[in-house]
Amino acid sequence: MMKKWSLIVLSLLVVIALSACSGNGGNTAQSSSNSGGNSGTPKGKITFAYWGAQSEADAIKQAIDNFKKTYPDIQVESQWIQKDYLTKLQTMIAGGTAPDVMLISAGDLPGFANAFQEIEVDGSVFSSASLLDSMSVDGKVYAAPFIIKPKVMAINVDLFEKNNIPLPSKTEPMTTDEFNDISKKLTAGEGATKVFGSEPLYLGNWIYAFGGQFYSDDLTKSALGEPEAIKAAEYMVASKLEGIVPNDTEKQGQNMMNWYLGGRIGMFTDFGPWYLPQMAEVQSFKWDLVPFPGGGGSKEVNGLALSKDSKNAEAAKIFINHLTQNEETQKIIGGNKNAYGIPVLSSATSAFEAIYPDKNLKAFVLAAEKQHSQEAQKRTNEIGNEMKAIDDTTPIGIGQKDVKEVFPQVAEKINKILQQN
Amino acid sequence: MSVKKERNSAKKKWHWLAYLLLLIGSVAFLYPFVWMVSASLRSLEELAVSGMSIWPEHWRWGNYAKALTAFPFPQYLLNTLITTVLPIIGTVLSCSLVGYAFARLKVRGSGFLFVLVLSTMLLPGEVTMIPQFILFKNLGMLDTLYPLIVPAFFGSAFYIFLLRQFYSRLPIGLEEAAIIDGCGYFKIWRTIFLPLSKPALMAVGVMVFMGSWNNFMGPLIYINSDKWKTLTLGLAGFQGTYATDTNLLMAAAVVITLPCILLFFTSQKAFMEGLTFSGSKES
Repeated sequence: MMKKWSLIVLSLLVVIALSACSGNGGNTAQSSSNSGGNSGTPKGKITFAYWGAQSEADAIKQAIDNFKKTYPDIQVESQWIQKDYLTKLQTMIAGGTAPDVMLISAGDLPGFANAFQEIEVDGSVFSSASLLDSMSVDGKVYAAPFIIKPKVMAINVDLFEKNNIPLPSKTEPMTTDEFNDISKKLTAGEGATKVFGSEPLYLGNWIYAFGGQFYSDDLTKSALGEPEAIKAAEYMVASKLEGIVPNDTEKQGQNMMNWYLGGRIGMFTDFGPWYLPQMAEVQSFKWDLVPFPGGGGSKEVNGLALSKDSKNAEAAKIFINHLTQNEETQKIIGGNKNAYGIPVLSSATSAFEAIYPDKNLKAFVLAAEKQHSQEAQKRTNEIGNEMKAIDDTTPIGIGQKDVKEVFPQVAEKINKILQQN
Repeated sequence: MSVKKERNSAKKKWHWLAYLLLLIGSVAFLYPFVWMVSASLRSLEELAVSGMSIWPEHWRWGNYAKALTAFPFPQYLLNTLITTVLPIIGTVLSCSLVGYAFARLKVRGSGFLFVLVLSTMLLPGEVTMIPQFILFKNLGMLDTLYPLIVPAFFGSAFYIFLLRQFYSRLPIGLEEAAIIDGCGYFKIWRTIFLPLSKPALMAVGVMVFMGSWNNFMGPLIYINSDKWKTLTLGLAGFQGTYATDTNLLMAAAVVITLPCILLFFTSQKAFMEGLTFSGSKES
């Protein structure tokens, strides 16, 4: 008898729990298709997908709230995707449930352009003309610039003072030769306590410091075989040989930001705005920000794209315009303490600079205007596989071959891939 | 007698070596967990310079409050419990029933069917992810907990195999006696095989618990609204693309890992028995 009752109770529990699992009968991933009928302003629901950590999501949610105040008739269902954003986006697109508006980085845009609508955006409103270029594929604009994440250099002021090195200019980038000289002066000690001038240099930033780039301006050819790219590579190799950056054995499994926080790195060059909240807690040494040496570094531009299958495209366009061109919203997103990124409107960048007024955040604003955008191609994975040869065969990574020999070979292989487009 | 004593003392001589090796092994396995607890009590700055040390300079208990209020913890916990307990019930019921059928009902084609079921284990999850997503979309189950629960009620090849092996080893006489007494196959499964297979069912339950409790990809793909999110998604919220709130991540991870650790200590004996008897582990 007891067993029978147990079975009945168990069955009931299952039924109750299952019925509690759905409050809306599913289907929330699909947007509603009310575009306002005869009234002027579009209405209805749109879905908006974005990635990021909790702190970044909080910043975006504030911007969405601001939009809702202005457009109470448009409901925005926010889809915050904590991790593996592209996997989820691909699945939703393949499953026919793509959100109306999607946050997308310029680097990923070419691979997803087929899922987006071409949109009309006035590029002159943004802080830099290059922003719209980075949101374009084959001359067509597929996303509106939303936020910029450039790279600057963080310096350990205490180490500079200890070595009697004058602090670098806050507005003018030091030259690559100056960077090398200062790195040598900062490097001291041996073994586990050795202090390095800089963390290992990253080609994605330094290629621009030597006037090079990954592709030709029209993105049809690889520029890795060009003298500028090779010069950047040779500079990186030399920095390793001189011992001013950690070598492969020393950096193995180590987090270079932790080394910087621990006072073992004098100049951290690959410094994006996402490190600011972490740095704000630092009390053990003085630090500040200066422009990237040689005018190098590259900026990540994130934009808002409109789904090709959006059933409420008009409302989605209003949402995109508001988030990317409304000064107040841009100030909200840029002025968030979590340093989500630099606003795309010049009039809103002051909000970003005000986050940490005692630090030179102006360096980020200048970089957002001047820095080269990350270059992107449609066949990222195949090109990435070819690029591995640089790390595998040259001293930039673990190899021994001369960069002069390897770079043109890699460029040739990438060109073959590009010709297949 | 003296020979026996000598053997015993020789054995004892080697005991210390065994204990030493076990101790080293325990430390190696325990250290990451201890480090996780220690990291959860540090500031990010201290974490950056602490290296291998596990003793925090300043104990920041506030990290736990901060981590557990960063996302709606009770809601995520409830969702995680639902998507863990129900799949355990579903898997245990469906797989034991199917496993029993494959072990005991000898009908034409059952061997082929069994191989077919096993062959589904060869399919990587990535291959079935999009078709399954489309299936649940057509069923109107996206952004609900159903996709994380319902599949468990339709069996899983590995657990079916595990339980079939277990049932195959039970004496045939039990079943014959029950048939003579007038039992049908379903009643035999319910009244004889299910109670006898507790160790194997425990093993299956523990494995499903671990899989469901730590499931990240399922909730990521099927859940959009905050109200249905699970703890693994809450954890992922501490990781940005380039920077991570490691101390908060570890604090939340400690809390979320606790049920797994408790389950291990309370059910490890039954778990090992179940695996051993099922022939999935060399005894």
